[in-house]
Amino acid sequence: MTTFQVEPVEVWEKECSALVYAHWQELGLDLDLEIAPDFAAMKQLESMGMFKVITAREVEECDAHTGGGEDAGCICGESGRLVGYLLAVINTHLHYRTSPKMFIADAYYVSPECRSGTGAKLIRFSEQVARGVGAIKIYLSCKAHKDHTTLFQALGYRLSDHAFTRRI
Amino acid sequence: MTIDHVIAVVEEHSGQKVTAETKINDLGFDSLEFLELMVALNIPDDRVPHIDTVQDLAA
Repeated sequence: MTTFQVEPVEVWEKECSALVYAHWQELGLDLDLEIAPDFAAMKQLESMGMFKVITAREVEECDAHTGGGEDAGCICGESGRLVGYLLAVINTHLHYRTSPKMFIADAYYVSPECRSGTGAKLIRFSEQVARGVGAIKIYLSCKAHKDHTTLFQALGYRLSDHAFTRRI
Repeated sequence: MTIDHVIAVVEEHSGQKVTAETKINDLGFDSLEFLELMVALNIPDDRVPHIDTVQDLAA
């Protein structure tokens, strides 16, 4: 089964390299730039309550507890294989300093072999995290060449912006 | 919601025979199809991340 949780950057950092590389290869538009996440900056923001790493992990149900009863479905031992993540910056919006925080999804990825609903679950779980930190709005985007508009609208999101970039 | 009703809805959406123990991940849905199933069964948003098997949909 897949579990969703908030994890410290320090934990995610140790296991994320393969997924981050796959993410960059699949979705990156600047493959000439070295993929080099700034974990130190993430940790600094995290220490200020402004950054969250939300992970998806595939865990095996404990063999001793799959026969039913009170312990059925319990998860023992390892925390599971990292199969997805969503990184978010949480802060008061520069335009709305008197309003509560906003939850801005910086990046998200789910391993291709685990996509049968995991992305939707990851977003729904992230919404719970966002509410938990007092955020009132979630900003979520997708690549133009990997358009998730239909999914995001089905999840209740409103199409609000088109973003453009230019190498200079 | 009875398990029989849930099974019928999941089978309709997936085109496959399922049991209470069938894992939703094994049915080959993409996220949009998965979400459509959640809507069809009126699963509250906060329960969605914890859906693993067909049985979970009836809980």
